[in-house]
Amino acid sequence: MKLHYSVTKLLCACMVMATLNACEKNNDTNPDPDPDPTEEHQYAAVVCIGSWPSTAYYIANVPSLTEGTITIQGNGAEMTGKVYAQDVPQKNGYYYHANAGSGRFGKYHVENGTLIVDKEIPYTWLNWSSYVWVDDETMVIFGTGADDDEVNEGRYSIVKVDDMTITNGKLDLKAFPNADFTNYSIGFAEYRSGKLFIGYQFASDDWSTYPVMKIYNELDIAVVNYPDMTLSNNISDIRSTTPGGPIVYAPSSFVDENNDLYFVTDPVSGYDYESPSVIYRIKNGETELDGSYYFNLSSKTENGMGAAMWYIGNGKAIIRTRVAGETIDLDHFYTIVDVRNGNFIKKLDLPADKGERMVQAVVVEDGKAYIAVNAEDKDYIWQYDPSTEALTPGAEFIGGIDYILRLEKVK
Amino acid sequence: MQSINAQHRSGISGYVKNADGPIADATVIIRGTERGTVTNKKGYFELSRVGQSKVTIVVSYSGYLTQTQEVLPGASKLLEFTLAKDERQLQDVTVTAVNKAREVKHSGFSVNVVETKQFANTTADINQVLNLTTGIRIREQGGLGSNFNFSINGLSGKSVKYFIDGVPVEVLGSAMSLNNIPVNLSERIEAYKGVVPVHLGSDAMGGAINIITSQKQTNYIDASYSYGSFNTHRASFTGQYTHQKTGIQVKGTAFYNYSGNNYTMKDVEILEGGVRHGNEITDLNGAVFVRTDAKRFHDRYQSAMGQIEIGLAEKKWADALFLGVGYSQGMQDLQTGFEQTIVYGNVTRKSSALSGSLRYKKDNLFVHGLSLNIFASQSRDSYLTADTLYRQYYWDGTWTVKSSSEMNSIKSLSRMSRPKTFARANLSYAINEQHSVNFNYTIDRVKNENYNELVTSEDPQPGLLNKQIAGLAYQQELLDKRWVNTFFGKYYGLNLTANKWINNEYTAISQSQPNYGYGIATRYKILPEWGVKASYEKAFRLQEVDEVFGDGLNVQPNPDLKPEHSNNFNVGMYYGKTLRERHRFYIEASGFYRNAADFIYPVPDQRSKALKNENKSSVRITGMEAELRYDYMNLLSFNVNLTYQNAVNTTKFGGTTSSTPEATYLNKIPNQPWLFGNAGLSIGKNDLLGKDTRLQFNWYTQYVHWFYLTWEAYGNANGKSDIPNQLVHNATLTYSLQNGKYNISAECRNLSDNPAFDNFRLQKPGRAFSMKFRYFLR
Repeated sequence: MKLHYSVTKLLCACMVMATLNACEKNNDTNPDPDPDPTEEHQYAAVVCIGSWPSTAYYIANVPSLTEGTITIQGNGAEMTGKVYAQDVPQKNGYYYHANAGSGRFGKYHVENGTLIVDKEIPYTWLNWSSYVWVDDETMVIFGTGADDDEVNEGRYSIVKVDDMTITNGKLDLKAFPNADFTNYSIGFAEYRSGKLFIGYQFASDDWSTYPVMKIYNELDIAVVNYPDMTLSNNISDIRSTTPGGPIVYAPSSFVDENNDLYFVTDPVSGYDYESPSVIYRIKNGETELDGSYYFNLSSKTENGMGAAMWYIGNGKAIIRTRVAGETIDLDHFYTIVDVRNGNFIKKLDLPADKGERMVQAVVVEDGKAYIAVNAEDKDYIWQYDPSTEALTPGAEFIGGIDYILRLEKVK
Repeated sequence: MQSINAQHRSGISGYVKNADGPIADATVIIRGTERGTVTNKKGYFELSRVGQSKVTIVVSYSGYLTQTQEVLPGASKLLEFTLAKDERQLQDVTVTAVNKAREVKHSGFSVNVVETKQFANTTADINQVLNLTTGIRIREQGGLGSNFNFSINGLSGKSVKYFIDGVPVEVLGSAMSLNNIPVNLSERIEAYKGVVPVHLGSDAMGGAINIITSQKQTNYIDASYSYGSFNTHRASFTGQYTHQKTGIQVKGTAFYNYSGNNYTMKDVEILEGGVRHGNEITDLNGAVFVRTDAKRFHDRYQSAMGQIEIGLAEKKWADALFLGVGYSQGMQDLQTGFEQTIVYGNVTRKSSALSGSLRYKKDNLFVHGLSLNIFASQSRDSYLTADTLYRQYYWDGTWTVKSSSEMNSIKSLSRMSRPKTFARANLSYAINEQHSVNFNYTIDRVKNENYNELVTSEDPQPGLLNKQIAGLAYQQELLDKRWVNTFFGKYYGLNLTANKWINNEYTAISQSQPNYGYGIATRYKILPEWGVKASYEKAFRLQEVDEVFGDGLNVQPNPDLKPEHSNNFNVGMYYGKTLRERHRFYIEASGFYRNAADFIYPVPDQRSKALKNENKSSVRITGMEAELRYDYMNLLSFNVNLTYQNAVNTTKFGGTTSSTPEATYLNKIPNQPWLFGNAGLSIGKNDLLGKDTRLQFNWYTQYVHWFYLTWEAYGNANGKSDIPNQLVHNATLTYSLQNGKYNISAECRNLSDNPAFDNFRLQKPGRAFSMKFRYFLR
């Protein structure tokens, strides 16, 4: 009797479950916030949904930074299958990506909701981690590579993006100090008045003691004459390490109106759990660090780390700051720093950013910063007005986007 | 109707036998009614309340001529049927196999049973045979020997386990896989879906495939060789010899596969221009991608296996006692990465394994009804992946120097070595005709070593896995065997240890955890040929040693991993009907439900490119499958099946901490077939081209409905990628001589050369021809 009962119950349970499943479809009919999803807008966002292995990347339309909603339901250009990556720097609506796995460098744009391949060229010279625009038509990309001797070297390629023609060369970086260090990690890159400034760090390829990695307590900056690519100077400093993470994801430097160059370091990103995160300056016309300038970001942010930095104007920068810890998979918050005068202004009163570790999160427009925050509750683009210090929520990402990877101005 | 009459006949009973003795499971029906029964082990049957009018009793059994007897009112009630073999049927029908296949099929478990004799003259491997059945989808990356993903009712990967005669296939080494084992080595294949009987003692959460080899006691040789497109050679041998005087038995099994796999890739990229020196493009300046068709150039595959067993059978103290030794090896060129823009030209994989085994079986041990079955083995499996050139290859075989190795890492000769001790004991006891218990215990001990030979000479941090799985099942057969129930419980014990660097010191860390699973399978026969069944299991897939501790190369450790687990339900029915003793229909349909959580996936890190296994996602699958079969005597057989499955993502919160469920929550899982079907037609006639010959024609068609590469609801419809409809036809013509002693077949796969794809649109082979010769001596 008892057995028969349980069998019946089992069968019923199956039926109920099958029925439930049949009627759950399309229960969320979000209003389409974008009447014409193919219309080209001024802004876009690269987002990710789904959990592994079914993650998918899309370039979503952002009709407005300040109002409305952003969704990829039936909307946005699918990247998976074409460019399955988030290191896709953008300029003037064109996205660029170097894929070492399939040996190509490509230029892409979105048209009618589709990601269009403008051109892909065979490319195997380097594994990229950094880039800089010399002018609107010229991108210089940086990374490492090795010949058959397997000794890693710093490399560059000058890319004329109009027709995607490329000139390759080797960077004159400092030799490895000892056998523990067999690689370079190339960080920030800036172009200023005929010179390229390229931050780099000696790195170890020995992962056997991970997460305790060998650390070289020095950061370096190669100052290179452009376009002949000869070395002008090499700057070294031992007060911090890792001058910028792979900045193909997010920037960590800028040149301001005075032509002064600022960059922020992120030692934890280079497995250095001791050194502070520091902002440095290289003054206009100089090829050395400004010896009088040293801004210890960690000391102002409870040992936070500067993961990415954008210039707002008037000597002020916004920094995506990671909370203290020995990994880069932690919460981020945003801080405002008067970099010109070396004053810490404030930590913005925003929800904790639970998002990806490397995010192009800020767009600056008319002196205001627009910040995409992957919050625990609602994901807004927040507007920060430095003149009034007002913080207002704007457009909202809806529908449960997992990661906001890049917020871009495309026109 | 008749039974209303008070003056009814008490019933009809009788015996069914053949020349050798009683036949169990023969079907006995009263013609013109739905009433009937099957014979028991003694060949006995009983039909109660038959009524007073004249009735005709029809007795049928596969492989035998159907017999009828008229029973007049008042006539003798104890009938006797002696069935004669149906000589028209294929000669290698083994009655016990048919019997066993039906017994498994008609159990409470949801199971596909394939009798492989119908494929014996084709070049199919086990995968291709199973791919034609309901609920099963195999996604191969390319041609012979390529990586594949086996899915049973939507659960795939490591949650599906493979066995040969109940022993895990990996005992025989990593060169053994379902896509290289020739179909001739098996007599029958059982595919258990979601609910797995305890005698396959394993953490098979999604299901289990059990390949049953020939259980014949007679001497025989089955040898075959085939040659086909893409320079594909396949040879297989299986045989058995018994020395009559001593009773010593020798069994041998071997196969060899080789393929160039140099099939044409359509519309792929090659480079034009640039400065070239032989196959090397020394300067990429001016080189551009152009699209063209190109042959695969680095995809050779070779595998070989040999196994020999010597022992005694049917002794007083042992039904079987065998010692065996086996060796297998494989060699494989790798042609592509996960998408076909990633081209390799020099990456290779090699593997070899040596194993020794002991097996013992005794029925009625000490007491009547107690059976013991023991298997133990020791094996050593090693594996080498070579990626030693800083090159980027293109589809025409040209290459350029690249800044990292082909697989985008440092140069490596990655060695993996896995010494393994495996033992299994199965004890079953039939308490009486109705009740039986089965106890199964397996222990599996594997040491896992991984290292890059170019960097170090050993794995400083090998992992050790100790897996013990015990299962207890109780089976009852009620209401004259019309109702069969199996209740079972399983214990999964997992013990993992490894030495790891912690704070610059080698520290031994270990982890052990018990998990408990349970389930039930039930079947009720409404009529002799009409049954309904249902089954349930709470199932686990335990984490593996390299998933927890990393592999020392590319996979980072994650000691917080939990096992994958799932609640699996099946309901189903089958019905068979024979009309005028010529037409036989069989229909089977079932529904399934899986609610699986904590899938373990290696998740790549965008920055370090290293992988880390994480309990990443959950899925709920509901689906149904149906199969219809029709046979006309021994001449024609037709079957068609269809599977629909709706796999829905139940991962509520993804990578980020969020109070909003992720967009894909309750969305259909992308990049997975969800509607597919097969149809097969076989027609054959004996003695058409001479005495003792048979001409046989087989046709199979496979259909996979199109599906999206990414999430259906997201992204603009203009730019969405999909995997298009796939329709593939295969045909085989076989001519057999001397009652199947010599067989010759011509086969064409993908007859219409339709595009066939897999994950991320990786192209599979187009049209391919082959010839097969088979020699079968009894």
